[in-house]
Amino acid sequence: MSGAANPAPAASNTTAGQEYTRRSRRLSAVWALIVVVVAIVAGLGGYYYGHMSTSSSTNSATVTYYDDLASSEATFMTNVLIPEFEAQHPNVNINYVNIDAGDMVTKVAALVAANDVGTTLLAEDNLDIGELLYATGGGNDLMNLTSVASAIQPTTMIPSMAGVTTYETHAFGGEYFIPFRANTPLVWLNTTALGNAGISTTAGPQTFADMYADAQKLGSNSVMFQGGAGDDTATEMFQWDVQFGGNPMVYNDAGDTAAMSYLYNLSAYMNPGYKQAIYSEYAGLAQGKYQILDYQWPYVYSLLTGGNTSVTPMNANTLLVYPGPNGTGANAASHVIGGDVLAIPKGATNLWAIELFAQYLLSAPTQQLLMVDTGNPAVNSAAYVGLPSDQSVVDIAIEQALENPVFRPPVPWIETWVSYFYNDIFTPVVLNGGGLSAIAGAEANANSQMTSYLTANFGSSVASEYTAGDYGPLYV
Amino acid sequence: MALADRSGGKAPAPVASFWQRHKEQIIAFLFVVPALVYVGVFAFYPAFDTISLSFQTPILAFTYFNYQSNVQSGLYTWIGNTLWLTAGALALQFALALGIASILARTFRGKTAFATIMILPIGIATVVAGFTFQQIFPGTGAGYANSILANFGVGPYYWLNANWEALAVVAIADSWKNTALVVIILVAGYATIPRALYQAAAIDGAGPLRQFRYVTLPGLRGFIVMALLIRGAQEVNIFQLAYIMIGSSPQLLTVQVYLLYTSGGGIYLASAVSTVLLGIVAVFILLVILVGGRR
Amino acid sequence: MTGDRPAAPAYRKPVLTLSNVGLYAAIVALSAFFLFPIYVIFLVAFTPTKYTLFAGRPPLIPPALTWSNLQAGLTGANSPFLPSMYLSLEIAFLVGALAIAIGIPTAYGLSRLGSRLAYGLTTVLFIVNMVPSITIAIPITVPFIKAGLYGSPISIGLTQELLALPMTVFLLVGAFQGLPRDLENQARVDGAGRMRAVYGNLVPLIVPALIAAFLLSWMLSWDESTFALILYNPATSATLPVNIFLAFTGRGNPAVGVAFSCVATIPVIILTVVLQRYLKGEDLAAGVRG
Repeated sequence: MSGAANPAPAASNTTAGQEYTRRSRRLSAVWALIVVVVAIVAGLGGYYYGHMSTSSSTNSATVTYYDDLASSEATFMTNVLIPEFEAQHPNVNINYVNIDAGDMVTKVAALVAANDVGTTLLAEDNLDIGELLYATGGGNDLMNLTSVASAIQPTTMIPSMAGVTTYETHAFGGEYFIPFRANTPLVWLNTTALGNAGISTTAGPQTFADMYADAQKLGSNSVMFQGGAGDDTATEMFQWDVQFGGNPMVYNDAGDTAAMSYLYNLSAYMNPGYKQAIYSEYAGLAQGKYQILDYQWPYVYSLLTGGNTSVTPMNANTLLVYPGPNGTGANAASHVIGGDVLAIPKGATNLWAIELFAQYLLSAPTQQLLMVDTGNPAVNSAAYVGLPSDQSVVDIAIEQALENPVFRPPVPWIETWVSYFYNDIFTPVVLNGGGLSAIAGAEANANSQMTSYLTANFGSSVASEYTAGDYGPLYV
Repeated sequence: MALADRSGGKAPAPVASFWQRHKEQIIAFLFVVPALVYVGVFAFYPAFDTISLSFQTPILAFTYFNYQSNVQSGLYTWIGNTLWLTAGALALQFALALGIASILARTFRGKTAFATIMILPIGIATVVAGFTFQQIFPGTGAGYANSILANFGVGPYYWLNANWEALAVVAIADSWKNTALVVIILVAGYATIPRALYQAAAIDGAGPLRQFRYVTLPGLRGFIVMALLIRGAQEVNIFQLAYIMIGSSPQLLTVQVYLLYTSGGGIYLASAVSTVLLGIVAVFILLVILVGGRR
Repeated sequence: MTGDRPAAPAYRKPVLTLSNVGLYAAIVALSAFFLFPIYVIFLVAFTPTKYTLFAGRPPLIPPALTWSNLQAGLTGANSPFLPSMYLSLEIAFLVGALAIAIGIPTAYGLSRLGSRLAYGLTTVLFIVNMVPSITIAIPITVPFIKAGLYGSPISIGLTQELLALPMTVFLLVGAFQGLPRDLENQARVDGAGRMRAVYGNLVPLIVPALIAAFLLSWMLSWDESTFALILYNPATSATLPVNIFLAFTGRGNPAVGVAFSCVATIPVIILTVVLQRYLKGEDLAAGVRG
């Protein structure tokens, strides 16, 4: 570089001229190269970009399908279900997009705002569907499905799911989403470790007090809890609040406080990894990093028993799965039902193709495949007919859990509720070690914040309803 | 250049116009204008947009609600976490970089190899570095660092248990990735320190430590300020690296902006935190410029 | 800097308190620190996941090697690898080209301006570099969506350019100032217009700095993930870093993330080694002195 910066002084015009020509040729060559490369790459990229956009002729279409599946479930969708559907309907292509539930809300809202929805079907987490239903500032990002529901929705929905659709018509004046997959969290135990600590292993701890006693016997680092992210933590605490007899939406009633105190006390026995643990934390159970996994979704069963987690995977003799401990009061055995619901964003095109795929997803054979391979209980009761006779421990546990379903209410401010729970209560009390004495203040703080948020974003009437306790867990 | 006086004693020749006097400067400025326009549209406009969004909600045209809400959620703690992380990471980077730069100021066998190794982390994508360090320092007691410790019989360490531990681990990861940048700047600085100064100091009897303190550091001052400016602002903006490694415990400002933004309806709350972030960067820049003095 | 010869017999190089043994010990320790995580990247990429991601005590020496992680991640059904790679490449080249295109006139102008004005404008550019990416990314999505550019390489490239431009200008200003002042005047006297004088005479002489700036901007864009994360359209594709990020934090497959990490790392390691030749002290010092 130094050499190039000090050319021979232009002693004569001809030397400078030659120098100039040579250098300008070299520069032109470099520019030309850059331009050519950019053009090639841009061209190829443009080809790909254009190639992947949805086509919409009357006879063939590409459906962009959004879902938020764990990776093993996504593999099943990609390798089994989608090819089967495309084989049955050669004129419909499925473009599957795996995207986090919260992200889906943001991105879909953006697409609706830009009138750029295309042929799109959503399978959104039933926690977040309310955010699309009442887009912030009024309006609604979802299509009213009442008229097409009869074409898509099977007549044989299981009672709790049928109840959801009835609730929708009552609450929103129409059906805007259809339950697709049900999902319920379970508690997983390492029976070898429990046995070594002198704990009975025929069934898991039946009450929360039992679980605490077991944790004491197992010692420190024995429990895992999803303390790593708003959604996961708040969902777990939603169920615990209900089981302790409280209304989780208000944060601060007696049941909520009891659940929070219990959580703080139990945290003394948790593996510190709980602070970052989310739905993907399960391997430690097989590795002996913790012995009680409360809780995790059914999809981890095949992963824990399959051989990816440490050299010796778990099996029926070392792994116990059950719905979890019971609380006190009328809702002692309630279990939160998660999972996905199908919805169509406003402005979607080629509805015929979307309906075909939705119908396929809700049909009994598909639902049975989903249930057998990913552990998700089917919403279509016809899918339970002709199941393989040997039910795994997971299936039994799910069946028990489904007997007492409770749903998180589909309100548009649910994620703010999650955020306030995690930041205002969980972080100061548990993560930062504030302890039992900090609970009351934290809960009061969260409640007042939620009221202010509703006042500032939805108006004082909604805020009054909130303060009056009108919003609570959804039983159908 | 004096104008030849042909006026014959009459009125003096007219003064050259503004354009003629400043022509070179104006043209040079015109060359810079496209960049300024680009920067105005793509940086300043969105920044002002964020600030204005932070004072709104869907039904209120102007309100402090978003700030109040974030304060109640722990904004001061997030600021504290971000600042501690920034300070720790900067301290580690600069200590490492000063050491490495003074090593590179000498000649020795294997110098090119060492320089290449040292510069490799620049090329590793931030998200990849985040994932890798999460594998080295996870929270559950697994991970490669614990494997190394196990070879010495030391039990598993829970790297992310206390807040300061989690931040320290992120600082190590960030320093691993970015020390090379500081080294490059400091090495450029070393090149500008005249050898004669070391000579003089040596003649005066100064040992290597005193030489470092009285010759090297003052000579590097401008470069240290520049590196602090660049890296400090980037440090406050740390996002993916921290999020992959520690999620949201403890909370950092950028992570909170992202989490609020991706929860529906949170764009106003997110903009408030984003504005706070912007404010901190601005204060930081001012401080460094004032304390560091002009170049 | 390198290869300094003693100016006078009495001169001795500054010697640190460490002996040579100490020096080499420090070098070995630092090298180990810098190399170990890179080793982990390839370890995780080429070892079965039960010994890495899912192991309670992952072994430092791999008990077995496998291609299956790469296979599953890069060629598995519905793997977003190829569209993702194309998108990243496209954007990186765009950012590099834009950096040169905007950087040359800007750096030329700055090198000819009076020092106070130049200092002020350079400060403005640097301040721009420090505005948090996430602060800019969130509001800027709306105009892009309205213009129909949601997720397009143009929108992501234009925003990433904000990060590349200041560094580019810094390098090129130093390069321009390193040129003899007379060159431009010479060319003008010879009858060339200003543009031709600049692009024909001056620019060819700073080609190494141009290459360094292009490579740096390219690598910066290749690595960038905040703008790409907020601005990507999930229905089309995301850049490699975004897919890696989603694989490890969202509902993604960590094995895919591992495979992408491996692929994304190799070209930049090569580029970094190449770049090292151009990042010698003089170039940067020139920019700082100016």
